[in-house]
Amino acid sequence: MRVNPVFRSDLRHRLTSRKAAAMITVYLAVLGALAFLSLPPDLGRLDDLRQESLLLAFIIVETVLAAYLTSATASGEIVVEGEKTMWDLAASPFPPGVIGRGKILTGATFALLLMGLGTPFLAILSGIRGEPLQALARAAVVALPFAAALGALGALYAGVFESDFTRSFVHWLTLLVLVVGATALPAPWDTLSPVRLVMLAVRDGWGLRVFLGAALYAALAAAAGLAISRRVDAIRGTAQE
Amino acid sequence: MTIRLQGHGLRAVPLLLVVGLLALSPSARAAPTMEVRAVIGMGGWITPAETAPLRIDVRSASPVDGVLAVEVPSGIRGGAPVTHLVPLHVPAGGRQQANLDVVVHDPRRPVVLVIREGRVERARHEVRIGVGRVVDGVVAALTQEAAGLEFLAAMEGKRRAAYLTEADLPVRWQSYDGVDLLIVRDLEPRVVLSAQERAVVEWIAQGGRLLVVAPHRLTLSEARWLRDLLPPRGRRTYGRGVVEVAAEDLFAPDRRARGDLRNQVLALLDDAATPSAADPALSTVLPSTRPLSGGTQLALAFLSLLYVVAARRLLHRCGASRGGWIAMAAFVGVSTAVLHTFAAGARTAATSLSQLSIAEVLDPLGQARVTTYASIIAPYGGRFVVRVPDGVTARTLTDAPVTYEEGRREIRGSTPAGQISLVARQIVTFPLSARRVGPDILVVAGGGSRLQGLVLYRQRQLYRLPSDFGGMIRLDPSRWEPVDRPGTLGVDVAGRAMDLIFRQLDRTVDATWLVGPIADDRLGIRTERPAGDDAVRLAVIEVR
Repeated sequence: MRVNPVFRSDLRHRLTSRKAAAMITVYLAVLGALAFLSLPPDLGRLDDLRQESLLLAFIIVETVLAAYLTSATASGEIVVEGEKTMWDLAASPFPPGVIGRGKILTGATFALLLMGLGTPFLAILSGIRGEPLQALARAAVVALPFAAALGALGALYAGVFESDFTRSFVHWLTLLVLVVGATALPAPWDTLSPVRLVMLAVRDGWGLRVFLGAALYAALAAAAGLAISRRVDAIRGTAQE
Repeated sequence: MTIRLQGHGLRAVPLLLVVGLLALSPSARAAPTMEVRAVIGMGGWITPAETAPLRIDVRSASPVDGVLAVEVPSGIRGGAPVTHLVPLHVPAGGRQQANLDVVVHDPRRPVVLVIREGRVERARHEVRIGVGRVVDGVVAALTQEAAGLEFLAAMEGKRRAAYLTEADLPVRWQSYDGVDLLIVRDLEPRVVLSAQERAVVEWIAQGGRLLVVAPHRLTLSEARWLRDLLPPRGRRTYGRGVVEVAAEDLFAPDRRARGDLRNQVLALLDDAATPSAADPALSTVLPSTRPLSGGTQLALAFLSLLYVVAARRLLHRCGASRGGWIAMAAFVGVSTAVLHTFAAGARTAATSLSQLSIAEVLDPLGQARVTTYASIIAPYGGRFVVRVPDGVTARTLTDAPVTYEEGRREIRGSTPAGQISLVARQIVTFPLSARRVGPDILVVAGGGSRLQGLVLYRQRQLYRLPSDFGGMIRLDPSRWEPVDRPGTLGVDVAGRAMDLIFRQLDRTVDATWLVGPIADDRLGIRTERPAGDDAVRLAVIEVR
């Protein structure tokens, strides 16, 4: 089986480089600390948390963290040694479509890895609070397309915005619009929000709204991949001129 | 006249035959194979949040080997019922009687009785109560003529008369909770069960009031239990209760007309009962939550740290290798299983029972009424099971949809809020007495090594008795100390409980009390894993 070369290279660096290892360690340490801080029994009896279970709160935090790290590494806000940016790849012989697909795959796989690595901490909460661990599987249907879409958008921003400040600004703006802004929208538009979608998936299971939301983010990832291909074409065209 | 059947008429004949056969079939003709009868309350009266007797009679033409589920509506949101499960084994043509103590929180909804065999529901019966049957108190009269106590309806408060037969007498003293006075006028001793006799005696011993009318009408030679209770004339105290005898038949029409029955009943009702030292406020001194043990928290922290370090190493080694993903997935799967199992175990282990038992000695009966307040702590929610020893009745202190397994003597339920409070009551043999034989000489008999750290209490003053006083002690007046001095009682469960008990005892003027911890495993309820449980047991006895 031929593996996308861009995906293979990017993923190898994200898994083995020192910076990536430090980033994953910090991510796991944050999740571990959150799990440990949720141990006091009284915490589960606070009114707000009684309504929305601690496990759900944890899954939302994990989803947002995984999405941020995926997009931050893709956009270059967190630079991973050895990982090729769109500018480097434009100078390579790979076809634009391979580059676009490779970036999407990298983002999706990295998000899957982060979500998977956080599972044991969810298991602590689930075991202590007696809540079903299946909630994670339900949430993953939404969380993974969301994180993958943000990863693809991050990769696109890396090729579109040359200025670090502008790139970071747009990256954070995207995060805020999707996570905070969409959540504040009135119903039913608030289901655009990954937070609301995760809540729906965990509480009510897989329903039409959940699948529509997941499909929307998957489509966003695909569109970002297409845009990356176009952008590679454009960079190559500019270089030839 | 000849009727000719043609067309549709002819075709209807077989249909009519089938219908006729069905109507005549044995299943359609048979009488109901099971009959369920139930009587709730004392004479049908219910007192709110108090124990009420529920007598159920099941008769069945066919054998039944199943369970009788009694669903008492709880007043909590959602309406989940309190369930009593009674094993049911009825032979063909036989009957089984069940006597339960239930607490009715919502009299508007019926108590539902369901008989199940396996998963098959064999019978369903509803016992309706209604708000009109809710009263503040009951005067129960064992009399053939159901008349004479009508004056109660005109009195202040909602106290009503219940005219009983021998069969209506409860088999447990707890069922008399709503009864203010029991009047015995007509009694056939031979049909009274020993459990019913014991229930009356135990109820009086701890504060019940009994009026025996015209004892010459009774065959006391066959009711020794009653004869032993009776004073030669007038009134006597029995334990904390009162027994009074009216030589004349107060139910006789002329006596009733003169108001003799009314006056005697009201005089007894006005006689204030001795307050109990075991006030429900004592349940508040018990812990309502507990954190995970330090060892468990440390183990969880260590396992989490180990996982982070191992994940980092594995990513570094396998991240770029072929098949590295499989290794990663396996590692995450194993770690998830290990941490989940450990956490679930910690959750179960965190469930514990904390209880406080107050043994109020009923001197000179050699018995003690024991009230136990128990706090079942499941800090992370989840199910609990407590075992109720024989002779103990227990119920939730607040309304909660628990299940009482009457056969296995267990209470099962869940604690969504992390804690649930129970109250258990029992009477135990407790031969302890305390007497003043001189102005400053105290003699304590019985109790033996079960008593440690006793104190004498009298109107906010405390006297600590030495642990080895050998039954007799000369009190030193200078050693009395004020209870209200900070730090005198301590802030642990025992100290705070004693503070509340002393406030209750203050209601009895001019009395001295002996109070102290006792070591007695008979008191209270149990859990499946008693290792994490704790119990404080205190004895209270009035010094005579």
